[in-house]
Amino acid sequence: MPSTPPISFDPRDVFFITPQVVLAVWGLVVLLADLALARRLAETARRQVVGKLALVGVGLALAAALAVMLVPLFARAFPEDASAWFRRRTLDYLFENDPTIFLGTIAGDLETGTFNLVFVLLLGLVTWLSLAWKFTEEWGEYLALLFWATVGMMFLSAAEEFITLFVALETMTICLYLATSLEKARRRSAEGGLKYFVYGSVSSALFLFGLSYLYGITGTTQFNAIHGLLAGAGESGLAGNPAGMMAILLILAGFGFKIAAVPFHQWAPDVYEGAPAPVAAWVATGSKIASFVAFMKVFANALLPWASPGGNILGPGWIGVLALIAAVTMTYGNFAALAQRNLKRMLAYSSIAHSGYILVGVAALGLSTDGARAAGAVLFYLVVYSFANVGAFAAAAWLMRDRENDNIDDLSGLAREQPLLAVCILFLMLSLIGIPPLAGFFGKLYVFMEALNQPSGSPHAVTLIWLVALGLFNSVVSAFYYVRVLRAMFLRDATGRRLAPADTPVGLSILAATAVVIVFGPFSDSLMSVMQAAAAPMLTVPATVPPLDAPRPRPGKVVRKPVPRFEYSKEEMERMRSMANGGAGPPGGVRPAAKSAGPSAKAKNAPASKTENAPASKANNAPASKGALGDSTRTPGQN
Amino acid sequence: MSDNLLLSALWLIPVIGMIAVLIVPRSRLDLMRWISLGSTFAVLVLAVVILGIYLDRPEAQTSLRERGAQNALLAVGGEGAVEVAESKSGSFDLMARSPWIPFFNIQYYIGVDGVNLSLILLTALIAFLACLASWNITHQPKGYYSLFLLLTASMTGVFLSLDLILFYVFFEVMLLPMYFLIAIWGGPMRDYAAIKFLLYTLFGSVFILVAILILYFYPGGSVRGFQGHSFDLVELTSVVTESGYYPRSVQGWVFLLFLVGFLVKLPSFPFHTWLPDAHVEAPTPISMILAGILLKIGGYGMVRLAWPLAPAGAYDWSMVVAAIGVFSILYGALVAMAQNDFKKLVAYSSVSHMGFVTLGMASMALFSPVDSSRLDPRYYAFGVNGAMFMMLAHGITSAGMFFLVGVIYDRAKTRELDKLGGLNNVMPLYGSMSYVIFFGAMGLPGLCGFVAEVFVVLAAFHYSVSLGTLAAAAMILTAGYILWTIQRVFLGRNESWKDLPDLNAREFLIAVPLVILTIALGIFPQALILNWVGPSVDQTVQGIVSARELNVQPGQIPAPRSAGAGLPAGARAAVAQAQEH
Amino acid sequence: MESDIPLDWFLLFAAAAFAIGLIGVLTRKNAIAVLMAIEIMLNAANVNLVAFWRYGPLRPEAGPIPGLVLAVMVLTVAAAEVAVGIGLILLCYRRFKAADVDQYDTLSG
Repeated sequence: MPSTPPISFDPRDVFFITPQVVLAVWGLVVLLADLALARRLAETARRQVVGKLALVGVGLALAAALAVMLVPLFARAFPEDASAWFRRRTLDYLFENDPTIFLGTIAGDLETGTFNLVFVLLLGLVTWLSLAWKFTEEWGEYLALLFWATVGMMFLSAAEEFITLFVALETMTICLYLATSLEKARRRSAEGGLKYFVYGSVSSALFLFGLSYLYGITGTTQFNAIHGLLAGAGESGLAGNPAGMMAILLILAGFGFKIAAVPFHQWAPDVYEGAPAPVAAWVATGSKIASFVAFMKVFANALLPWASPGGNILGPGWIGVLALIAAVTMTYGNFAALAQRNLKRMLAYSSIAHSGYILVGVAALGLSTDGARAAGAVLFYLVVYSFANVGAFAAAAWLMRDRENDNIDDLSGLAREQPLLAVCILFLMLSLIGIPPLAGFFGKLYVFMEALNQPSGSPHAVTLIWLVALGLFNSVVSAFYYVRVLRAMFLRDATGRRLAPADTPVGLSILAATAVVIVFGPFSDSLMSVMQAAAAPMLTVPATVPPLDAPRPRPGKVVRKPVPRFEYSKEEMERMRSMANGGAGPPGGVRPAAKSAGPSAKAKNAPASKTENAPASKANNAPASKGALGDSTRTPGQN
Repeated sequence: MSDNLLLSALWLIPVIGMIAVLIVPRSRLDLMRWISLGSTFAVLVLAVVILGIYLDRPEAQTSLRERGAQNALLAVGGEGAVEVAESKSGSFDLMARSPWIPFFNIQYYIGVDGVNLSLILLTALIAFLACLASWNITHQPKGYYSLFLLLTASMTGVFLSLDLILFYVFFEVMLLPMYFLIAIWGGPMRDYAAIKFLLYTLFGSVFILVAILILYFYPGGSVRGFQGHSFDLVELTSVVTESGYYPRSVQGWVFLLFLVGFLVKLPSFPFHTWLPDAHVEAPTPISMILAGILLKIGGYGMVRLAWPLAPAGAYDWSMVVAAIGVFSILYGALVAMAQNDFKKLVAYSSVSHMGFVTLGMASMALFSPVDSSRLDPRYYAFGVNGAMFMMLAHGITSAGMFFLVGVIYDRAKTRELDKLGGLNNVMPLYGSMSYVIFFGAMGLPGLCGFVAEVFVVLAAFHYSVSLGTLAAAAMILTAGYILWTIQRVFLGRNESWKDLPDLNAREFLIAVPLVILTIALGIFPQALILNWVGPSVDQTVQGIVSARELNVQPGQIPAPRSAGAGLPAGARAAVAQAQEH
Repeated sequence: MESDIPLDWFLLFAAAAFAIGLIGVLTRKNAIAVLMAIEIMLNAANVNLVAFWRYGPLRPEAGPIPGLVLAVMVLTVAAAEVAVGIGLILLCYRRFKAADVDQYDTLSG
């Protein structure tokens, strides 16, 4: 299976990014509509008009996301029926399992499809929630920023190489910096935005610097290629490789900021508290999901060979660091949350703690023999956590609207005034604690069980057992502060102003989140099987063009001309390697071959070469859960 | 599937009742009451029907293990597709299972034998009576009754579960309604008491979960096709009994973790401090449930999980645990004596009585007193039977005592023993009922508490003379505080209470069944309880005793004891297998 | 090509620039200075990328996109970041009447 990405651009690739395109365009539409038309309307009317317009866009994106997810599934599930239909329309392309598109930079697989859908659904809730009350005057800009941040998230979770990943990450976070500071009436919003910006930019710089070293070591930015090259280097891993260690640490720090892991968490409480509640919800859920997905792709795919070379937890690998970060993160997050009085700040610390639990799952993923299962557990946790959090932030938005404050005590008496929504928030909090039979419990159970599910005799078993034990005791600690919310709602009498009944935006967000948390509790295995199926291609080194059956010509295909590429000769490579290792370069030009495209250069059809170099070591890591979603999870090796 | 429906109905009926209560308009208080009462009554009737089936059908009385084998889950075709092999279709063997979360081999697995059926009956009865006792709750009745029914559902679910995760799920679901029932409808310090209850129990449950996960993940190789990765309580019990899959050290850890979890729930000495607070603050019906059923879940966990799943660990730690039990008995009794709050006194008496359960379980005198190399679990079986009986007896008497305290608190608005007095003259009916129930709790011969205490003390004597002596001495303390209480509350004269009305019809209706059971269980323990609970307890004991990890040499296992109903075929086969191994 | 600067020099220079930027972020109080320090860090990474692209081995597995593209992307991203950063700093300046990051202290705890 050639790991080399296709060399030319296929216009049909655009099909796979229709949700992103729709959202990006619709962001502009909303922005222009607001500028041109809605400005003249009264405040409330304007908000409603622009908001409804935005929701239409979300609906379109939802349709696009469903199409992108389901059409390939359908095509693969019923190849015979579908092939005639699709082939007529030159869409046989969809038969490919887990295609990478756009020159191998983006995955068009089930994971992308699933998470596009999750992002659109969450975006719908967040957008709707934004319409609850007036917190900004720039409605067009605000909604457009939400949309564009979503585009960034989608690309981030789809990225298959570092350049795309970096650009997507920046798209997402820059939009979120601005959205955070859009609440004009409050100083804390501007301050939160600036703090987010400073921490975020520094983390981007750290990430980028680490990335530059990784590029220097491997000479490529493709995850799969990096995986293959590192795996080829053998067991030595990071030992005696300071540049590699630096790269790992810096990339870890960069992601650590994005997912708010200790010690890179300082921005989170300030941003969550400062940002308007819907933006805080979006930072806490969408950006966290996207960052974790990218994190897993980078660490459990590209950098997997450096997980724990030699099987030693203290050895040169990232597992040890990650385990330490996970332990510190969940403990710190929970204990810091105990002291909080502000609901959003409490949720910020709790989300730090949840990052810690998820990191346990990622550590397990790094060691797991069954990557799809372990990653599926993490994805399940992420989805469930995100919906619960959106609901919780909806409660904060409600408080903000009616009591102009979002302290936990402001929830007092909610049960008396709005029993249904109080019960819903109760379920959300219980799910966040991890009380069965709600989905949060099963998320934790799955993640922890995957962490414990090590092969017998694994040298990491003891570490993971302690991590899980710590996680469980942290769950008990977390009960303290979540119960504080429940106490305010159910046991205290109302103080201050009455809460007006929640209107559709708030109520709908809370109800939808509650429904997810309740339904995927007892019936968690359905969501889990979807997540496992989605996780399989994410961790598999995808085949670029895996034919469904025998290679067949594509009707109406753009002929892919082999692009001549110049390659170094052996001795040139040797020379450069010695230079890169610090030795003074021997006399002679460094890259004469590249400069003179003359006869000395060997023109070669790049993609066809080096098939034997395909990093197949991961192929056995993904005996995907068969069943739930047809054979969409086939690994390339089986084709 | 009929078994499934029959048994699931035990927890589904209250859930349906809860939904009905939630739908009823807020103004219809009477309707909510009757729905709740109807649901709990239906559960009670159903439990009695199940008892009838259990007594009637020989196939329902075989050991859980045999029935589990008959109900085995068979993989059909590829992954995921599973069906249940029930050898005789439609048979009422009172066990049902189906896959729930196939990824981790988690099942919906329920079934009854004597041990849990007796406790389910107790649950149904106490829930019904507590619902009747809730008649005067008018504050937010919708929330109250829905939480009450949810609590009932989760309690029956805990007793029904034969899958460890299912057990844990029901166990945790219990916390939330209990928390709110104390925190909203409780006394002045309810907030503190409720959060204390919640955190203690959550903390304890984490220990239980860790133990469950250890059992699931411990890589013991492959023993007769078993490779771990199972939450199946029945399967795990037989694996522990018959094979060396879980080595002694692992069993030690598992046992300690389970023990801590269940001692919190029980509660026993070091972890008991939540109980007096919770009891004092909880409203009367909730106190009845708390004392009558919730504490039994700790004891049930010991009988069903801690000991059978880690017999070697239990044996190694038995002296410590027995000492904890005895200390709880003495401590509870002494502290009860010092109380001035009637309810707190009853609460501490619960700590004392639950100590007998711990002691009975821990009196692991497994070897014959004559020939110390010969296994002779006769006296240990006494201990476990006594622990079971103590749970049932205490369930009845403590629920009764809390109800009686609630009655007087409703009327006199005080629970201070110093202020009460002379009630016997004012409320003769109340007084006479109280005497029976209090004497039953005290362990007066002829009443239910006596049987349990005799069994346990007998076993304890056999295990350790000093512990047995102390436990027996504690009965004097018990008598002391109960008699003193009766003297302070009922005897003498006190003009300030002369206008108190006696029990009304509803209260009488609640007290009568408890009084009757207190007497009946004391006079006919064998016929009413031991005949059908005993065999299941004996199976459990035999499983614990014949565990390979107890270093039993082949040929040393004695013939099944002739007392009781005799060991059923399953246990005998297990012993035979263990011998040949 | 004998006069080529060795790769090490670039790497050392980039590392030094990065360290300067990091120290600047951590120690400077003025928001504009912090922004500048961030830019230094990004550009240090860029120096690395370009140097590695120029000196490193070209791998056949590497795909059609060389590291230089990343450097170009970083330039554009950095430009966008500066624009946003200046905007945010101006906003804070208007709200707090100060450009000193220590003065932004509504949020803490």
